[in-house]
Amino acid sequence: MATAIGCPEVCAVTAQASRRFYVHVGSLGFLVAAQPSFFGEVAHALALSGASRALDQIAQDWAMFSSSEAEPALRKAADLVHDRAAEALRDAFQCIVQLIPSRFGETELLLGTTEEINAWCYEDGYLTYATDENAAAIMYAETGSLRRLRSQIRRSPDFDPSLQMISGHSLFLFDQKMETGRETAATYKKNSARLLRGYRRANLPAEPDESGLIEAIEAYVSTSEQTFEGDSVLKTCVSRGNLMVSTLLHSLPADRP
Amino acid sequence: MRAPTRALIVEDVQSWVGILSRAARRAGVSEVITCEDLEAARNALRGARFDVAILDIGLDPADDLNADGVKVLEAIRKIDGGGTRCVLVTGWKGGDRLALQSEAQEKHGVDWAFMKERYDAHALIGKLTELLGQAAASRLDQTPMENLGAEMEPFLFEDQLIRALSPHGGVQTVYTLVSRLLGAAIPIVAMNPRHPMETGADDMTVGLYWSRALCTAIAVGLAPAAAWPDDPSVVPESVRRLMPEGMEPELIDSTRERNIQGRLWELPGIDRNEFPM
Repeated sequence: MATAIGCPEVCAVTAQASRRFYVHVGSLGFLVAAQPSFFGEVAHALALSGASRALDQIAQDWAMFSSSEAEPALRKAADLVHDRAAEALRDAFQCIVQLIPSRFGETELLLGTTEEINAWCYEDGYLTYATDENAAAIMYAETGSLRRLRSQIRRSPDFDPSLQMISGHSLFLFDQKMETGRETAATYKKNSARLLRGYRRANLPAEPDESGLIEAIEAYVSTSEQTFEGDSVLKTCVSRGNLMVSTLLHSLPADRP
Repeated sequence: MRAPTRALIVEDVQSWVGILSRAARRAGVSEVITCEDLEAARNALRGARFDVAILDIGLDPADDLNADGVKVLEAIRKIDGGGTRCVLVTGWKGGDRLALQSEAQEKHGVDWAFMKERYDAHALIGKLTELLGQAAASRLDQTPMENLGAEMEPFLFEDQLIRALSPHGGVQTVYTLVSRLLGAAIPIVAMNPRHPMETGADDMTVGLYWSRALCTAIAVGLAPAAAWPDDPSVVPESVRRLMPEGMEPELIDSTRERNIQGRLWELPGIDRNEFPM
């Protein structure tokens, strides 16, 4: 994994209407380790988002290389799965609170209550998200190392105010009593540290459970559908979804000695 | 210091556990504890205090009356009085269950009930949000001082503290200090209910408790302000004596009222089972 985890860090924190936020998968690992009951929801959202990316690529391949009649149906399915994944990500992320270290002691929601997830990727240990089409265009056009981007932001916090890079133990479940804002960070951290003391790796699955994902994809894609290379569309999507969940599982902290 | 917002979900059907947990999180519950049966729920209640409980009325398929959910409700009311907001979940299986539900509502003060067949996510999330707001505002049946005194007669406990602390302003000062110090930690369970706090040679009056609000073992220390070490990271000998060797307590709160100072430490690593029921 390219980025060291364990040291909370959020860079360039000004919330913008159009923004990107890149979450190191280790941060989600800490979150679900502290709150195992949240694992299912996060895993489902990640699995759907991975499957959606795969289906989108398959639909693009058909559109580019063939005039097959399968293409319009796959495009429609890809759009529908994208919407479901965006919904699942939004539902999960609007329950998550992030630390804002540069505004000491302050927290805010990872995704605002009026925000949506428009696009996503996975790169170099970071799950990258864009909240609208403009932000998505910038995200897809980005080249170069995310590590380098992170150190640029760290050196100059105003480098890109519409980008947040989140790593370390800095994500927590939203609490209605505490809400977010000034002087809430310490309590969120303390409660999470207490929960992590009870963490056992065995309390979370050893590998992805793909049954929910298969059911979700089968609603839009028939089992006979094939990729341009002749593989099963369903299997390809499920495999990409599983990969996302496996990444999360590999990012979980180890048991305390 | 603030206690987390916690929900207890007692439900034996896994798909419903997921649905209800998700609704609770969307309502702003930061810790969801799920139990499949009455025994597990009782165990959870020993360790933690819940702001809201969502109880399936028919937990045990072999139980003709489907009364296990109601027994959990009884346990909550017995342990926490009216502080926990309770939502009853039922399935449409005939009048017996509905009768049980209305009886439970009358007897134990159910705050809301819904049928699985008519589940509406928005309605449940909205109701849970409202109930969580009420739970935060509701008061526990016992004061922090009563909690701290555990099974000691209140006047004896107050007398013990007055003698040990010599507070300016008398017992009122002690009440104010204890309320501020322990407001977020109660209910608490004393390690020694009959002698919940003792005063050491260093003038510290200390006690070891389990906080059901914070879900952790805590040490409470009260003393004249002058008796405390200047450095707040220094743990007084009287507090150290209460703990297993090698444990590093963490100071989580410090409050002063007139000439009396109280401190609260979290003691990671001490299990709930080391405290009495």
